[in-house]
Amino acid sequence: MMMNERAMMLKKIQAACFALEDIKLFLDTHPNDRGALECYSKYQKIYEMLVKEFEEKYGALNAERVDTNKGWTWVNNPWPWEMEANS
Amino acid sequence: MWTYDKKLQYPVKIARTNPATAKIIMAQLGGPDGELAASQRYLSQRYAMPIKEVKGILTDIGTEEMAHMEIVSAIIHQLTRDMTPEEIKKAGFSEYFVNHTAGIWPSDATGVPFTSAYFQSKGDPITDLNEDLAADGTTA
Repeated sequence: MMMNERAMMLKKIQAACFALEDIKLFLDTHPNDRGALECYSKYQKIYEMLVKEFEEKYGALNAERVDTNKGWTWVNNPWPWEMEANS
Repeated sequence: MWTYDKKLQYPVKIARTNPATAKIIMAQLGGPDGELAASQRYLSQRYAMPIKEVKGILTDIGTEEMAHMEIVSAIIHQLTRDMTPEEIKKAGFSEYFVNHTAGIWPSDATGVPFTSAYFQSKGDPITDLNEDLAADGTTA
């Protein structure tokens, strides 16, 4: 099944976010691990870049970042649990 | 506080309606070792934790469990989409349906409602961590 462009971009964000999540948990108990800190920093940059690219096209993924010039896009479909957000 | 990111932690895309599977997966939402219990376990226990690293990890894991709750809810939502009366009966989903239709309501696989009796919070970090091992000793 072909994924729509929004879902494809979102999937990349989800992958980067997943990496950040796991490295975060490791860093909580290994706060001085240089390798993990570098890895976290690398994925922070990837994540920020992907989110910026996505949000310019499809609206904010977090209400704090809504561009009000475009109206209240926060409530726009699809919401995360809907098929359209994932396919 | 918490903020909401408008995305699932992992994508959920279920092509075919299957209420029989939804019924089983319900255990992972509102059952004894489900995601709701897990999230409330870690987030309640963290107040008794004196070590900063572990305050951090309890907060972060508890938060992630809420993201898992959303994934499991999305799975059940998509598995119960556009069910026919025949599908409901055949899947043994009638008992759930009569109370909640296709609404998401945290319970175990047999319909027992979620209860905080599923987890402990004793104000003692070692006791709480042992309880975590019993409840969440897998990687879920």
